[in-house]
Amino acid sequence: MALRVLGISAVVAIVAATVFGLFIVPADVNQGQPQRILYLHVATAWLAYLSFGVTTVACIWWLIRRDPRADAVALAGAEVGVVFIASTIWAGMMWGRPVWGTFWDWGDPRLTSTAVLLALYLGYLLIRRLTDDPQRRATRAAIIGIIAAIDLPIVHFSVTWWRGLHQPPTFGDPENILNPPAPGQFVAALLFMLAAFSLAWLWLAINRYRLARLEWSAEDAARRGALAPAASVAPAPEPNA
Amino acid sequence: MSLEPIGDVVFVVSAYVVIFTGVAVYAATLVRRLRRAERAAAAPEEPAEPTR
Repeated sequence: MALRVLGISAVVAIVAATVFGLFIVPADVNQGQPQRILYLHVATAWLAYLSFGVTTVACIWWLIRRDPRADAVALAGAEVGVVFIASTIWAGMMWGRPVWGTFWDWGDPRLTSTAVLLALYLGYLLIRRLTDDPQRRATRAAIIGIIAAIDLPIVHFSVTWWRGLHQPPTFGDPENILNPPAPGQFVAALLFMLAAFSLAWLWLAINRYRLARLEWSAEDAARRGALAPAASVAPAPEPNA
Repeated sequence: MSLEPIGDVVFVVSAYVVIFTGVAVYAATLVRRLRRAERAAAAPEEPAEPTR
């Protein structure tokens, strides 16, 4: 019931945030209408970071404790993160064409490192399909998940470490956190969209976690069922053996 | 009269429509898989989809 309320709240909030961002907040003087895409672009990017951060922590948790819940959390984070980072890239491309004059530039460090991030976590999801042994699969995936996390700071700091098309951080700069260099309405629209998508992110992540736990249980039961007949027909040991 | 603003709106609509559609399709797929897994858990004789 609580999950249903969360899902409905997410849909209502996203509709409201979209109406606010598209029809109530004015267009930017310099960028015009495409600036409205940034509400989606930034919100999905931050939530993708959160997803992959959750996956990284869960991968470490699995390697230390071998807890199936950790593998389920890692999988949920990675899969939802892939959806959000793909959304980020798409929104960035739709913004880049009218503002930068190009959909994509492989010479830009932020764009390229983000594409690599998507490829790494797609690899994380694909490597899970290579074995049916849940323990081995979780361990391999955890190692890949930790390796993929190396790209997270590279993506984030790429705009300050190297020069490219992408602008430096607007909100991540410590001097700008409490005094962002953007009109209050734009900041409100961004935060509204972030809050709305956060609800959706939570709903998706919880449901993906539940699915992973159910699948693990079913797989575990199937493996035990497959082993049980073999054990029942095994010859009894000799009394003096 | 320039057509540039109309072109800009196309990019905005494309961004929102594609992302909302993508997230909605993913959510619907998730719900369908979840219901199937719940049914399989309730009736253990049905083969379950393996974890990936």
